[in-house]
Amino acid sequence: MSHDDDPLKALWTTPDTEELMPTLNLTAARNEADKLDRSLHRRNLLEMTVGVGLMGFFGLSGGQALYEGALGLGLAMLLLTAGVGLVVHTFRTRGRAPRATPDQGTAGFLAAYRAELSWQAALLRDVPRWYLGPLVPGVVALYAAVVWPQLSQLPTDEMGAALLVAAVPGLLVPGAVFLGIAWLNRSAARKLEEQLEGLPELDQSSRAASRSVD
Amino acid sequence: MTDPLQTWLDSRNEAQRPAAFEALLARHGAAIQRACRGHERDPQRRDELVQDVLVAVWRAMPRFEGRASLKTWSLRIAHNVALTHVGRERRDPVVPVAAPREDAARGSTDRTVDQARQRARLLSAVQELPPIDRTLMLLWLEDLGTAELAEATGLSTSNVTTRLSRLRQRLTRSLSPEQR
Repeated sequence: MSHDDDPLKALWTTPDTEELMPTLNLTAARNEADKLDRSLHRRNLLEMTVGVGLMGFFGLSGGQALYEGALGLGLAMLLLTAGVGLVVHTFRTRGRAPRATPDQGTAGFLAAYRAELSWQAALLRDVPRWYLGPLVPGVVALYAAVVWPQLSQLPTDEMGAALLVAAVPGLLVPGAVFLGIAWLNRSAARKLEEQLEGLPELDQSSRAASRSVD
Repeated sequence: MTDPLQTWLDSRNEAQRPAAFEALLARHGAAIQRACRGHERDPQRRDELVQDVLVAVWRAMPRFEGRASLKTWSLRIAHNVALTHVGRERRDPVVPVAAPREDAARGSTDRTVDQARQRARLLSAVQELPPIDRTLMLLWLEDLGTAELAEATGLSTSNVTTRLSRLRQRLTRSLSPEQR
């Protein structure tokens, strides 16, 4: 049955007054798409650079300051390798992330979109484990490298109290920052989970339709 | 005169994609706009939805393989984007359904006024459907066949036929004089 034969279709496709129709801005759409692609590329590059740089910095400065010679270099290389491994792991995981493309069928798209959101939410929820956790050795090593030269010159009986005094600002502050980062990521994960709950389901819609139509 | 859309489909030359995009929207832009109107009541969010759909269509163009018609393909994108868009905004206050706009047809004949009212009622009835049924109905209103509807939604053809029959009855009832 074509538009002309069915009154509902004919009514639906009758040209409307322009003011009621949403606007089509093709150039803005193309620019927006290009901007999105560029920002994704920039974000990936920035994450990679920051990740490698940060781990390199923690590894080298922490390791070399703690111990001189081959042991220091070994520790530095160990931390550096862990950091680079973390960054590579992050990118590999991202490569395996589910991708929902809107040009597929609705059922498949919604399933893929649901998987994509779930994956992102899990990733954000697990930030303390996969992102902050590996940074902890670097932070501790760096801090130890800074305070150890002063502590080592103190008499043994004063060392415990001095270590405690030094640890409070040196480790609690980064600890609070890490907790804040974890909290922010958890909040973002919760928002994604709310979005997941709002997604329509084929079966639910079917049941609702049966109730409302019959 | 050459068709920019066909030229791009044949060559897949990136430099020709903008012209192909414009040609695609010249043909199916109105249907995309109607799809967005069917899903989103708030005019501002509707404009945002249209832009989101256009961005999605532009980005998906290189993946078009010609297995479905361009109309089916672009409408599928529009509805999929709309379903997630509406899902994202679910907790925000919803703007009430617009009353039939008599001012839009001011100075026109009684028949035009009546048609504008009917169209507003139809739009309102479609917007009140559950999301998947709304998608199904909107695609049907754009004249997609049962097989295309099944392919676009992921429902079986028998399910599509059954649902459509019920939904059409419901929409027809919402337009009947005793419902006014």
